[in-house]
Amino acid sequence: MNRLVGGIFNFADRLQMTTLDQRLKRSQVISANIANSETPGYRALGYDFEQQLASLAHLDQQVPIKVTNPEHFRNAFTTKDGNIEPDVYVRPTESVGQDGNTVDVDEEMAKMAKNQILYRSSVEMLNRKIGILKYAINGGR
Amino acid sequence: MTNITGSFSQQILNTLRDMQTEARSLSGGGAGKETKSGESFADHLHQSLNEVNAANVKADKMGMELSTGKTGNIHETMLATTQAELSFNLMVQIRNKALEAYNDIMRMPV
Amino acid sequence: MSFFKAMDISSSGLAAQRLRMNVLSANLANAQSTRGDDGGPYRRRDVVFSAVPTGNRFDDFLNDAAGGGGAQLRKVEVVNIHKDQKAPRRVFDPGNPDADANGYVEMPNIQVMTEMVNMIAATRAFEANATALNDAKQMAMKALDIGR
Repeated sequence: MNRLVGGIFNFADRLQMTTLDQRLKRSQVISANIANSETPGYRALGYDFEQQLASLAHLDQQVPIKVTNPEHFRNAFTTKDGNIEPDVYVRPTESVGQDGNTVDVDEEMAKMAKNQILYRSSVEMLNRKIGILKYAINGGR
Repeated sequence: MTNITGSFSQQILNTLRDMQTEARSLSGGGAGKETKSGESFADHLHQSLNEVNAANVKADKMGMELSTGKTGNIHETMLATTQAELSFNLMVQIRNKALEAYNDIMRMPV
Repeated sequence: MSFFKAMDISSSGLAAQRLRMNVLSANLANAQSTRGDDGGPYRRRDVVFSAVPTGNRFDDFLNDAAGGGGAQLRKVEVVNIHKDQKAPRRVFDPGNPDADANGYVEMPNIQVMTEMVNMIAATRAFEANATALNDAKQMAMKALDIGR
């Protein structure tokens, strides 16, 4: 029965599901940065996944959506990563504090807020999609 | 502000009037009868199917663009999603009414 | 139009005001330092703010190409920490180890009251930026509720 329900999510939905996982990981990286904002010698870390998702979704080109394959995110329904491999990297930065710390707390807080907003937006879009499906399953009654 | 509200409720009224026209013409005869607006009900349903599909595709695309950081347009994305949802609901209701009308006709003794 | 641009701009303001606060604290702490890092007494530091473009040059290029008209939005950046070049204050204090032949000591040109007032201003500016960032975030959250 899970395969039946899993099949009605299309590529865009699976992308949103994958995004949820990635945003969670990013929020962990940002929390680590904020926690270590006073640690001497700590280099701020970054976590990027959006460009890879965008190229998987062919958003850079004019290819219509129905050409992209939902199988690219085969594991998105079971909350694994699918086919993207984002990495945690040391963010290159110009301003280094006196103790070798490169964390800018205000920038990290703003990144955290942005991440949270985008997380909520992915959740909301999945909710809407699920609402539409429920409406269809119930026949509009 | 009154202008915006006025045109929105005007749109809803127009949509409801169209549906009313369709329902009246349907209960008056067979399924293929031409309505005042010049289309059959089947055409109307087909057209709304296409619109629903287009709205869904657009909402999906905007959602993906928001999540991958191509745009920061939250409110436009949410509006597109709402539009997709509402047009889908409207189409389902049209289908239900058509089904009801068909059943009514089949139950007629003649 | 992106919510996140507003948040970036506000966070640049937060960083700038925090840096200004650090500089003012250093000034206050060194108000009596007769030995600075370049030989003479401590020289008062001040930050120089500059309005810089918001970084994403492609976005700005698109804006201009689309006939965006109006001024580009800019964020704030500290481009320089400037050392005061005025002559230091001379105080008569023959007992001081740094007194010169006439018994005068060169003291930093720091008025405590001025620095305190600047600190209050920096605090208020910081709060204002934090409120602006919070408001942008609230607007974005509200936008997510459209059609719910």
